Amino acid sequence: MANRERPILEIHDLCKNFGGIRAVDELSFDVKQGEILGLLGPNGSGKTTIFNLITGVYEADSGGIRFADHDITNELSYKIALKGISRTFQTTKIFPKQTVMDNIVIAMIARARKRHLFHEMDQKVDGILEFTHLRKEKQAVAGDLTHAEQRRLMLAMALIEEPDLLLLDEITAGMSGEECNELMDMAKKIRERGITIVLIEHNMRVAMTLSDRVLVLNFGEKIAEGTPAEITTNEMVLEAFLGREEQ
Amino acid sequence: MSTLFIFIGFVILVLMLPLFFTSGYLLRLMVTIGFSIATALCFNLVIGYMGYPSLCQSVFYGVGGYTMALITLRLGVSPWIALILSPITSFVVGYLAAIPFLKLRSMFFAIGTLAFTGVVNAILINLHDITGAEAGLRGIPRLVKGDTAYFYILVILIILILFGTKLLIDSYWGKILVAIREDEDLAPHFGINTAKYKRLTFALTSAFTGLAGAMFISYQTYISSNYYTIGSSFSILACTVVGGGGTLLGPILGALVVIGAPELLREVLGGMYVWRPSFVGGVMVAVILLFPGGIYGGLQKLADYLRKRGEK
Repeated sequence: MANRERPILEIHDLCKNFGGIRAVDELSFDVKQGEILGLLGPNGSGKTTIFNLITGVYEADSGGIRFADHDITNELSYKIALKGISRTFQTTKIFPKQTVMDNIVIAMIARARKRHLFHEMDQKVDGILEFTHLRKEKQAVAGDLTHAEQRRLMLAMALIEEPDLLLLDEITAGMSGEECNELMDMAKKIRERGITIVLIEHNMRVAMTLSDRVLVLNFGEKIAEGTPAEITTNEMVLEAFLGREEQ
Repeated sequence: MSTLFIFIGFVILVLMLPLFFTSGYLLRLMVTIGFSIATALCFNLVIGYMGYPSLCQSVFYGVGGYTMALITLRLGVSPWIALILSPITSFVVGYLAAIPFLKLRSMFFAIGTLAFTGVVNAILINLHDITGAEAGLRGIPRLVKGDTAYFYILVILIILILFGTKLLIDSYWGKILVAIREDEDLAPHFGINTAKYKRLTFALTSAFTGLAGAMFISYQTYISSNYYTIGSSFSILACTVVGGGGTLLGPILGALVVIGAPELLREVLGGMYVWRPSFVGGVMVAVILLFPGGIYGGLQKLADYLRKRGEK
């Protein structure tokens, strides 16, 4: 059973500039083990930049990131992945010319070898395809799948090695209401397995239903933090999303 | 299973070829084409499977060749020992070259490796006391006597490279190369150390290229800086692109067309032979326009078309 009070991810005073633009501004927050944290904010508020900083895509200008008591600030992406952080992307990122099976194999190959689970590969692949409703598409070429199936494949690739922390970047983007519900059910089941989730969502229904706690960003700064109920009535949040009414 | 039988049948046919050659010229031509096939197959891993358009193949061919030449001529060591040392020196040089060059991608990598070939060629020319420069070094001992023996050794080397490539691409290493080719930025998010696999693949490829280069020099008994130019590297790239990169048999078809066809037509072409580079360029343009997957890709499409027609 996960200790839900113990932070698995700690971010302190994190800064990232792109030229003259401060994308992340002295941001500090933590993510407790086993929780689902929603990262909300208008376009350009720095949400995806935070994911990119956590996963080593960008180097932080200052501040620090600790994961499971290890300093992972400016660590290489593959080392971060091997430590147990997986992610999905805003725009679908898979290997489109490969089959669904090969996509999963590529996603698990380095991490499985690290954990000496290579012999369990087939069983694991079938399990994750069952979970993401892609069993029938196992031999299909990934580029031929529908948008929703490709998004689920991306999720399957992130999940295959059971990460400790899963970063979901607008996983429901471009999906119908029914497809969103399906993914919400999956997210709940993922959390039941003890995997901690941080999600970026533009679909408020999804974000508010799934998140235990919500953190709202604007211009790279944290403007609010609390339960979904607290956030929906927060003045600063309403102003950031809807704008200030002219006097 | 049927593919294996076809392959074995083809190998037996190739092994019987020397029996039908009426002149030494044809045998020497086959050996020369064989060396191009071996080099093109080696760099197919980097160019075809990993997706890095290398233009420095001739450097590692040269490292192997000069290892063979200098060790046998200057130190008087047996060519067989030099043959063992050649892939080792090529591996080391390949690994060291990979560190800066594999930080570049696509056309920057191509231009970087092209410049590397130019620099190495200039070094070979300027260190003429050691390398013999363009005039070259003569009297390098042969591994075996007779062109036929070289032909058989070369067939064995090509089969070894083919099987090695097949084993590698079917292993986890092959999947990682595919991931690097398709989306190098995505692969690290699955824990793949792309830099490590790129360097090792490049160095391994360099080692086998060096081995082929050492065999070539011992076959020629002569080495010159003229063998290791930008043009030689380009010919090997042309073999892979024309034949079909990222396929096992593509580079063989490519070498037969790019290197073999102009040589076989030398007698027919007569004075027109000087147009060989134009022929190679023309074939490349035609293949790229008509069959982006190379000749092998084109043949596969044709086979698919015929099969579908047969089913109807």
